[in-house]
Amino acid sequence: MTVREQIVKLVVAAGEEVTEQDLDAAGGSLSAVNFTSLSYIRLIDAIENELGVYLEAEPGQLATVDDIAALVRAAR
Amino acid sequence: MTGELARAFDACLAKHRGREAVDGLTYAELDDRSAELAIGLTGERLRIGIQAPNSTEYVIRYLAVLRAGHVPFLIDAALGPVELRRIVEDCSLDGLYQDDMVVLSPDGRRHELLPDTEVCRFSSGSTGHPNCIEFTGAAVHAAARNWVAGTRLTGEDRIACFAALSNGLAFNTSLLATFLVGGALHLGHGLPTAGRVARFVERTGATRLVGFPALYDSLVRRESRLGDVRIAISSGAPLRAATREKFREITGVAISDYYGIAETGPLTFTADPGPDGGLGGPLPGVRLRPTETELEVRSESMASRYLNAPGVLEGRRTADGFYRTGDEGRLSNGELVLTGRSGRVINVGGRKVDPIEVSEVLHGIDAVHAAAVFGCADTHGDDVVAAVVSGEPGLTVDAVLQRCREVLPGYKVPALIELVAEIPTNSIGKPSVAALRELVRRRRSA
Repeated sequence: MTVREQIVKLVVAAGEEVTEQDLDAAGGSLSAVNFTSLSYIRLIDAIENELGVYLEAEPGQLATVDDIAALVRAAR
Repeated sequence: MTGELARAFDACLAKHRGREAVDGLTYAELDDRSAELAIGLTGERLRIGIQAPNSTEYVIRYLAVLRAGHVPFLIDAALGPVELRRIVEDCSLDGLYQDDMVVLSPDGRRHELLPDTEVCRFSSGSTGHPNCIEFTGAAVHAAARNWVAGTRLTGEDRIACFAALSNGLAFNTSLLATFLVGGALHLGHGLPTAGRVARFVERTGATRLVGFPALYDSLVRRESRLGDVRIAISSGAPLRAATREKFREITGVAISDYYGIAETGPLTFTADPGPDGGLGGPLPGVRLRPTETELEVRSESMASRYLNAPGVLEGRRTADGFYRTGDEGRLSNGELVLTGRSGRVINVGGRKVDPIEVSEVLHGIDAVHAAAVFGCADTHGDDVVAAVVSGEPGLTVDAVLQRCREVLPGYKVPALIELVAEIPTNSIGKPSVAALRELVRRRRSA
């Protein structure tokens, strides 16, 4: 599984009623699938747990799945 | 002329000069920098807003405003331009600190401050907009002094505070209280994720941690340990029992989940909550009076009134000076047990949302006929803002969301929106919250 695919799964799990199709239709935008600050905290926890990288980032830096994948790759 | 609060800070700065005050800055350095900034703040009893994330600079500005004899208005950094503009106009602010000071020119004073008001903060309100709470210096000083005494804060403590200084959780537990004893304050900002918090605690050698329940949920998810932290303080929203238990199991530290209200300051504390949690007994200067309908409280740190909502706070006070909280509770062996929250404010991760404010935004959308806004648990068990909306054919959730995002800060934007032909109402024609929650639940499980 690619980093991007892993991120998609984690975003779906951290969000509220988000599906991979919703995310795809929104071009990977987290705000478009109504991510809240609590969703972002869950997502960062999951990334640190599952992918073993530390992310000290704010929602503005985590706007899209591609942004997050890039940060994860850079942190590795 | 400076007030009681400025004099209290002056005394702290003089007494603890060589000790660390904030993020590496000593009390002497904080004294010099705030005094220098105060010199430039000329004028008489100006109203100066501070809207910024936690930082050393925030503390310097706050002290400078007080020491120059002005009144600081502490504004949530998350508020967007629409809400900020309303506050600036409603409170007739003369200046606003964000990145830099912006000088404003209010057209007169919409509301006069009370003569002894020294600080203003904001609550989510129950009037459709943030209420500006006026505090005397004596009330703020008493809140800090009683917190020190009731929680045994000492000069050896190092506080890691992840709540915003504009919020009562940080303002009352971490600012003047820390300075009174000569402790060190370390200000966290940004999303309080477990990784960030754990590294911050490690770096600062913190002995106390202050944050909303979402911070502790995160620490438990990551099973993070917390170095020298001996007291973990939470408030602002209900703490999950599972989080409380797991946190103690991982760290050996119990979370002290205290009860406090923006209008009264902190009210209870226990350093050793039992296995079922518990909010502790009254802090010094606090009286708790459960009645048949709701909990009434009285403290030495009560707000004076709402500057921009005359009569509203006064209407919540009993003839003998108690504040009617809207919460239901009882005392068990001297400790407070909350049994219900009768208020309708929605609590999103410790931030309070007035449903009327969100509802007004929804009703302002041309295609919307009716809307009802209420709190609802999401699939993760967190309270979120939910909205059920009826409107013209062709009205979409995206259109509703877009408008909300234009005028509301992120935490007030409904996380759950359902479009319906008609809003379910009760027998007297009001939206039925029970029916609305059931509608959302059914649709989500469909």
